[in-house]
Amino acid sequence: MDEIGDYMSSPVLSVDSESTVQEAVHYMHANNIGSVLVKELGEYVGIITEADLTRKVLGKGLNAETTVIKSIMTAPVLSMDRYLPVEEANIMMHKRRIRHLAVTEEDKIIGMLSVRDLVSYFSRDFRMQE
Amino acid sequence: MMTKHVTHKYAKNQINTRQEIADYMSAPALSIESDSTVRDTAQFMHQKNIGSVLVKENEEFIGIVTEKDLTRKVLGNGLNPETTKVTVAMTAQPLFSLDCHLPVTEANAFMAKKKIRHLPVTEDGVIVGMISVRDLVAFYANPRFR
Repeated sequence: MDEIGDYMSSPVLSVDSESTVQEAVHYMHANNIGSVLVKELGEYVGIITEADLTRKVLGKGLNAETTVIKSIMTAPVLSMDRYLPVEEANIMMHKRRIRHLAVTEEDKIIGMLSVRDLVSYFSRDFRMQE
Repeated sequence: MMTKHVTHKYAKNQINTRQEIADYMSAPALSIESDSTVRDTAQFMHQKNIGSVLVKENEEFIGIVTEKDLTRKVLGNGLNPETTKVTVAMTAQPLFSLDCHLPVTEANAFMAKKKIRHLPVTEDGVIVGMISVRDLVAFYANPRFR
């Protein structure tokens, strides 16, 4: 059975909790990612996704240049150990309705698993069956 | 209100047949009018719990807008969501789409190649639904096929 660690993307990218929304958006665009972790004093304290930005900033009419990431991030970050099976991550992501899951090793975040990664895992399995 | 993962009417007659896009898409395809603002669009997507929405003008679908488009084009460029029209952020025609009777595996290959997470689904050339990466996971993770 394949482990989460085999399908995650790593290393993780992060922005500082005091960054503005606009800075975070530029950083995500430049790195071509749909979510980014939020760091404060060396610790990951939250996560920001395109869904958060759409719903909480655009939907509520907040100012992207003055709103700090900390005020709209989702916290705490949901995570799973890299040695757990990918199936477990799928169940959790489905239940919590999330598209991005942090991956840990010895309780330290070392990667990210996205819905796209789940498709890679499951479709590989599928082809082997056929 | 649940608008996601409503099994499409065509799926009901398809017990024991190969798995088609129609069996996993959500339908109907949700849309907003082209004169909507970005803020209205973001609120609509939140309310319906969807990551993309079609844009309609004169009863025709003229484009698609995703959370990625809104984030990058509106927030990234510092535009005002209350005055910016959704058409500024949308990806315009030609819209990518696949026929609902094609196998789900084709949708996966197509979406991976185009690097997209949402794909409009057609029947007889008319858009009838939408399939997302989430739906692909539902298909591949379905224990009936494994």
